Amino acid sequence: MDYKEIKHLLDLYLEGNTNLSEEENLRLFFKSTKELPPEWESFRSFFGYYDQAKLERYPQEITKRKSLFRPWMAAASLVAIVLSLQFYSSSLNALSTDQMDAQIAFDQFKDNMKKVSSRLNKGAKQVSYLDYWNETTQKLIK
Amino acid sequence: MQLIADQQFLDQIQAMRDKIFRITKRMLVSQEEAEDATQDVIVKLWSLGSEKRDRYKSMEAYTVTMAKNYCLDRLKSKQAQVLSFDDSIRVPKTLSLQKEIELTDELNWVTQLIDQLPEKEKMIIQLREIEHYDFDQIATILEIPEGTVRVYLSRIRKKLRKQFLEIQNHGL
Repeated sequence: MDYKEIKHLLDLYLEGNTNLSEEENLRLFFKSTKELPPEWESFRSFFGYYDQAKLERYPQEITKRKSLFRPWMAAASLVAIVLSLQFYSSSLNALSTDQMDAQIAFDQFKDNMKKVSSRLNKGAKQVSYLDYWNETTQKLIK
Repeated sequence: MQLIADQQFLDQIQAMRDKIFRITKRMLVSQEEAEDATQDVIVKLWSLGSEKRDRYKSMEAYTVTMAKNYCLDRLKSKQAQVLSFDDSIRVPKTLSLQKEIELTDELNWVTQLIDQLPEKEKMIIQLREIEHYDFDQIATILEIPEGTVRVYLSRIRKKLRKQFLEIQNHGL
């Protein structure tokens, strides 16, 4: 095909007036021709993209993975459950040393907080003078 | 008899599956969603039963129509979901927003240009330029007159070319 013919087909193409076989010819032309007038480079990109897009396939089904579950796993998990139940029930009975420590620390904390709160209000009396001072300064400003 | 019909259906579907996948992917963009859509469309076709399937003149056009409607429903419900959250989230996807995206080569430009087309125009490009359907079939699938298909196609081809040249001349 000569360039004049291609030019004519491209004009028809842009008007939506080419049929499928004419479009196929254009496709082949742009695929096989290396040297193109610069104003036709865009057509090559478009036809190239369309060709590539047509190659896309639905992904192959993934072969089913073998089951990871084995009979011995059932036995192992049963043993694990029994052991953990035993451990849990034994831990309910007595306070562990950690828990004892925590209890002692909490009691001390409580005592300290009581002392602090009993002395808290002494300071509050001093603070009330501030209000008085505020009022007088307000008057001065006015 | 039933077995033969089923086998026929499977053969037909095998041939159609890639097409359905490409079309749904064009519309839905996401690979996973397109895979799901393809499966759903095939199941729907299957559940029609062989008698009903045979009644359609062109099984292929019917299938593609089904895929198209499936995607449109999907997109509509997605949009509704987003809208119900916050209207302002819906920023129209335009080229200017994608400026940051590094475009390595011209095929990528084309991909981007087609991705930002409205659904209907994407569909027309997919059906004509990639699946090579004739105007008559496209008209059936999109349920619009043949003349309209040509007008649309012409408009889209010119628009894409113009945008491509703009990128080429000025960069993104």
